[in-house]
Amino acid sequence: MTSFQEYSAAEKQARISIEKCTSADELDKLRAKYLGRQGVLKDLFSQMGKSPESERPARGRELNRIKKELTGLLEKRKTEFGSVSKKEEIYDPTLPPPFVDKGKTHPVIKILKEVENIFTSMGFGIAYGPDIETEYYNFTALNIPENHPARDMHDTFYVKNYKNTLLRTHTSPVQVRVMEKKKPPYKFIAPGRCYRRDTVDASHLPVFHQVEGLMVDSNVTFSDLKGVLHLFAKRMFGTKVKIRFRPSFFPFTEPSAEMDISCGICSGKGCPACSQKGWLEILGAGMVDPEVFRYCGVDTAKWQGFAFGMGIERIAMLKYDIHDLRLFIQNDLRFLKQF
Amino acid sequence: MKVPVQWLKEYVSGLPSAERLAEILTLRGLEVEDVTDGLTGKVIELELTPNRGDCASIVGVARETAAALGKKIKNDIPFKTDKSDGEKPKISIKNQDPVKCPLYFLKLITDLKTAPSPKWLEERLKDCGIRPQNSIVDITNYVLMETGQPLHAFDADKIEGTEIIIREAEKGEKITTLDGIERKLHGGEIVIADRCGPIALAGVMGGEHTAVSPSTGTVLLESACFLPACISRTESIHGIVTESSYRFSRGTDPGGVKMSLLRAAGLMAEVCCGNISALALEDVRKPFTRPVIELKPYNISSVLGCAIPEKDIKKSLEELGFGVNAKGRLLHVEVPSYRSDVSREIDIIEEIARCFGYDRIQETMPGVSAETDLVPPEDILERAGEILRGIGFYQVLTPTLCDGSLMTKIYSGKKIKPVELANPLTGNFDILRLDLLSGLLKVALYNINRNNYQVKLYERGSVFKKGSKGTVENEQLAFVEKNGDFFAVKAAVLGVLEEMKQDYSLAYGIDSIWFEKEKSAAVFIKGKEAGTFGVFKGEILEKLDIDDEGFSGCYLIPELFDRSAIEGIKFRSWSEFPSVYRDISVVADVKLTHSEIYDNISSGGGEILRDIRLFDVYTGKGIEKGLKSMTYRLEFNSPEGTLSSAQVSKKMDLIVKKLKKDLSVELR
Repeated sequence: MTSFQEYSAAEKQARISIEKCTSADELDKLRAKYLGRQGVLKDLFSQMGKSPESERPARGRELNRIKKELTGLLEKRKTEFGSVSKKEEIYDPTLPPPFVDKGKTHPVIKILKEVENIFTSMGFGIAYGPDIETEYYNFTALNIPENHPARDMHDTFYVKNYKNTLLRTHTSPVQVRVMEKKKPPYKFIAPGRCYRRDTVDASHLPVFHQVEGLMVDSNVTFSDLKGVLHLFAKRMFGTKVKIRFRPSFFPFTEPSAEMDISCGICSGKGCPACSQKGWLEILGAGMVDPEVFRYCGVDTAKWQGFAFGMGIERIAMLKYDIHDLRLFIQNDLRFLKQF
Repeated sequence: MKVPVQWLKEYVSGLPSAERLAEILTLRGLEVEDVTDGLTGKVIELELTPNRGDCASIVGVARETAAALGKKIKNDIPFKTDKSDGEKPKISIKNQDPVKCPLYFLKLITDLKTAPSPKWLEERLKDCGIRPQNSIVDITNYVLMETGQPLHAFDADKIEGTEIIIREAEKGEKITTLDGIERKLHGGEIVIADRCGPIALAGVMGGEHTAVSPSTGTVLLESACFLPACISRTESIHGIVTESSYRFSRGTDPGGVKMSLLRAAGLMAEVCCGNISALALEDVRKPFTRPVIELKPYNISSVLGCAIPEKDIKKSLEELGFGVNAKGRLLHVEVPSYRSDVSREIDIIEEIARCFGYDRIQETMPGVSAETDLVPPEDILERAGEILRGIGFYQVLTPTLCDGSLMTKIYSGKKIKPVELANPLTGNFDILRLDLLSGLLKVALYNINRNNYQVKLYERGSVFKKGSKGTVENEQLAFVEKNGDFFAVKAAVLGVLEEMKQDYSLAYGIDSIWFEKEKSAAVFIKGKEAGTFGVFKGEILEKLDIDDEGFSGCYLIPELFDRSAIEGIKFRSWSEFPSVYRDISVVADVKLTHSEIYDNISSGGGEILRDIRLFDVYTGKGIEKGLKSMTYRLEFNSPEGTLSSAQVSKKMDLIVKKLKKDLSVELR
């Protein structure tokens, strides 16, 4: 059985060796000798089991104290040697790390998700519809009659071999589909791909993305439309953004408006990016036209609401200062890596 | 619509600067595209919305400008009144379609001397974007620009017979229009005809035969009103939009038909020394009456969310030319003849809001019922996107429209039913895509050609085909990697399937148009093929003009995935006891697959065998030809307690015996 004296003897010897030690290598050996798995202290701990039970707590405390002090001493000496060894071995932290592949979301989808997040956080739901639509949902039920100049605003792709079938020119048909099936109130957005019969150039794509929104209740007003869309603009473009609403025309809303945001580049002073106007158009909106409600079987005496629609590529262009839509479909990795 | 400010000044005095005016008009809903310098001074270019055909004229813009500035329009378009010289009419109007042509006026002007127009007239036309021709045509265009009323001048001497007939065209009838194009009529268009046939495509373009020429001495001047939808239809049938048809299809002012005719006649007398004959023919089938709309002032605030004082309402409407009469608590609003776009109470409310200024309407947040059951379910495919991006795949978006002939090439021999476009722009975009892989390979090629590195691409999106009941749209997820071998794509696929918690099985060596048979596999979920992956065949790359190799790829059909596996994710605790690891090296026939050995070990190991990991495959020195060495690390664990060495060894013996018995696999 070991006595307490043996503990202090071991401690003393260890202290002297550590103090005298002259290299990091030697220090490591001492650490192993005293504190290692088969070291002196471990040995003393294991022998403790043989001592009377009443002594064990005191012995344990003493051994732990020694262990702690020796550890501290070893650490202290190690730092002294550490600075020496650094000089010996040249470590170049400026070397490049191993290459790690990192993929990214397409910027248009990134913006689309951001728009979705903003509106869902305001309590909007999400509804979807097909790309291949009928004339009824795309035009007629949205108060765009045949032989009306409003249809000219939408150059349309028609589908061969199917009567009155087309590729939707906006995601508004989703509104009609939802309103037909469900009773108000409504509060949802409809994101998706749309098509216009445009030749590809810097400012036109035949396939692009839109998000439409609809909110209908007993007392939703034009001032609510302004409030909701202003909040959207602030979250999308930053709190400093200014907005303005201009009267406009859409067959499916009345009154209709277009919303402009202050040009982020010139802060509204006028520059080439905003054609010297200081404002950039970002979306169309308005109060749902009673004709649309009539087509969808919604009672206009009880319900009213607003709708809005925006082009996602357009928002991405404004946000990232992109001037050529073709970049979005080229999928050049040098482009995709940037956002 | 281009508006020379100098011309506008004739109708509204005290205009602000063109730039300021542009802003005012924009905020009233007449969006100004640009302000440029013209021959007569500043020119304001308006981008008119389809409802505001009334502003496709100087007078129309002047009315809106005056209202915006709180001024009165100088409403005195000068025109000469008829003077009778007693001549008897030789021509009569025969209107066979009064519904499509409710108003039709003609005036004969004789002794004309055509010549180039005076400078002031030419300059104004040029500033409006119209090319001057000769004084007669120029005057009709001038009045069109001024009042918005389209006019047409026939060379009276070239008209056959004594009747001007307004009728529907017959199918197959022909007319050569002013632009020199012979047009075959569809039937149903309105035409103006004489004894020998159509002389004008009414409201759109005159005929070549009766066109005014420098030698014209007598002109029959037409001013009419046509049904907008009818003109719009003619435009789309014949694919032409003219200054006239643009205005007619948006609705012209029935109140201005006669006045404009007299205005033009007066100008012809003045400019071309013409003689206005008394021959004025009128066919008025539907005299215009101002519609009256009932307006409940309460509805204004309930729509706008903002109260507008009644005196402001009255003032705004009156400035725009509406009549307002109070009838008890209601207002009766009389719509002026030039505002055919206003027919309902909501239209009036829009006019009021527009005049009040959208910017003055306060912003509020709607207090609506919280209920919406359109809460989207978790986008489970986004889990796949997360994994793919994490291992270096970039998301791309390729157009859903693609080249039909390329698809025929790719799917040669297969029966495919693509959804085709009836009116494609080019052959490159004539069908809706059948797959994502061909688009992804094209994007890969694009990037390789530009020396972009890390060509690892994925896309999620719809593919389309014809089904038995109409068209079918399905979502797919696909990815393509350059320099990725079979195992690279397999790793990605398994990563996706595991992240999506799918209970799947794989079938190797499948027949696919895309992938090499021996380096391919299909993914089965609940017995259905939910996708395939592998290394692309050389012939597919060739068809896509890819002069390169080493592409792997995959497509998955998320619709066939088991959603509940993700939605039902629950935490599972692990064993608190330590695992025991044993390595086992076996020598097997090279033809024996890993999966056969794996399954055998797995069934021999029973419940306590938790994991089997292959970490070495070796052939060569020390291993007999035709054999291979495979080394596995097995993990044993029990949730009930620490496993003893004896327990594990017993299991190991069992595994070794079973391997030998079932697969003739020996311990190395």
